[in-house]
Amino acid sequence: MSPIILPESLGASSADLKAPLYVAWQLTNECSLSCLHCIEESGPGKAFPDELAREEALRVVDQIIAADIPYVAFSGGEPLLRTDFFELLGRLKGTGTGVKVETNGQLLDAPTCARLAECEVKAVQVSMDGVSEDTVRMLRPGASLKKVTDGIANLRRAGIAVEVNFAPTRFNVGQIAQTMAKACELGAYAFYTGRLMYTGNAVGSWGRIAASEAQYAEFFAVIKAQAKAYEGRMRVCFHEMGIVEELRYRLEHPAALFIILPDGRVKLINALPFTCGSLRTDNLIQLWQRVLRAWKEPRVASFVDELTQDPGAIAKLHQWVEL
Amino acid sequence: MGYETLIRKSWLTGDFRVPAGAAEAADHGPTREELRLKVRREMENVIAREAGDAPWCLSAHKEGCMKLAPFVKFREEKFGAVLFETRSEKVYTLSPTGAAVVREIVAGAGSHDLAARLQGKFQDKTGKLAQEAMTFLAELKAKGLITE
Repeated sequence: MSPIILPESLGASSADLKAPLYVAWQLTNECSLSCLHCIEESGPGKAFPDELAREEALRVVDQIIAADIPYVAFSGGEPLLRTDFFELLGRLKGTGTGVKVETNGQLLDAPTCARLAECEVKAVQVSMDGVSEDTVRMLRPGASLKKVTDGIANLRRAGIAVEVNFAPTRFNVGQIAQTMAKACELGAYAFYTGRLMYTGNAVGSWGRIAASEAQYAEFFAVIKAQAKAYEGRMRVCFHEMGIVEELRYRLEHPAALFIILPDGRVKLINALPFTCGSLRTDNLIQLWQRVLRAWKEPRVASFVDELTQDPGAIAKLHQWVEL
Repeated sequence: MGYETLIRKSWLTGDFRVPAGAAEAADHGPTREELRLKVRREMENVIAREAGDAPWCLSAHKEGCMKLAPFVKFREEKFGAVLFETRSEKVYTLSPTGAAVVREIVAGAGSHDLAARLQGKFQDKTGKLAQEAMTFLAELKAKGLITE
């Protein structure tokens, strides 16, 4: 997602907000695919043993509604694999909290898309890492590009806004122009990409899949050259900034969001390993206050310093540290 | 004429008719009716994408009132309020005056009576508040945060 920045000119910041403006909720760690570049440690059989049960998840939804949080993103793993997925969505319908779903695009048949539309989902972000079936299958073992493109078409037919996400690796950076064109042709209103992160499953396959700096230079040059051509049709969003620069900025300007892990723990942002409390036991508003305090913890700044010295330390993102 | 050229031409000219022979040009291409439907579906997609929710916006226009755009959320805060545009994930922080303007819009104010409603509520005899509110309103419209 793009950074949420509160203009300082008005003197307001995230710390002044009564609750987050955005909640990114990883509903499950289970996934139908074993993507080489996954920034989570998700995959088949990878559900946490203690993921939130249906009743617990519904209670979290109720807290999100009560806190008047404008936007929540359901991700995973693959969020559609949760058996209570549509019940959670249904609870949010008509409440004023908009929902975005982030999916691998393999389960978007017409009836599923019709149900998503019925639940008034604001947007669905679909991963599409190229225009070649072979490339997609190599990066996402078990995936089908045709299912992704058919799924996007089903979403559009159901009237749902579509975002496309592209994760660059050495195997697909060369397909960026065609993938942007395909996304636009399929009716996506936004296209997201940025540098691959050295974390999650990507750590194990980094040597095989990471794009070189020369490839990245060409990759971003193509995006910049073409982004203008899509103005008015598809918003092209890309993060050229490295993770350390992003985190340094965040230390000064904490994001107006937090992450909910599949077991209910609350995490500051994806790019930090720090958690502070759990929605299993704590109230969402109290946890928001803890998150705001956590951004000022010396251990957070130290971790960013450590990353500056050793970018490889980012591989520790899934060794969660409770603040 | 290729499909994309046809779409671009329709978009630029507002003429959605398929020229004679366009469908027949390709032996194995779509039929005239299929092409017409394809163009129509694409145009509907473009409209929906541009306007967020075309039927909703048209209904707001018909009622003559202003509404927050479908992808905009408003939340009051101690410092005023925030507008969150979910499509771009942009946040706009509002001062108490800005919050009062948006509160009136949410309550169903039209651009014709917004100033009067604010003047009445805030006992603004100088007219400065109303003036500021109208400037702010124009800004909100320009950013696509409200529709009328």
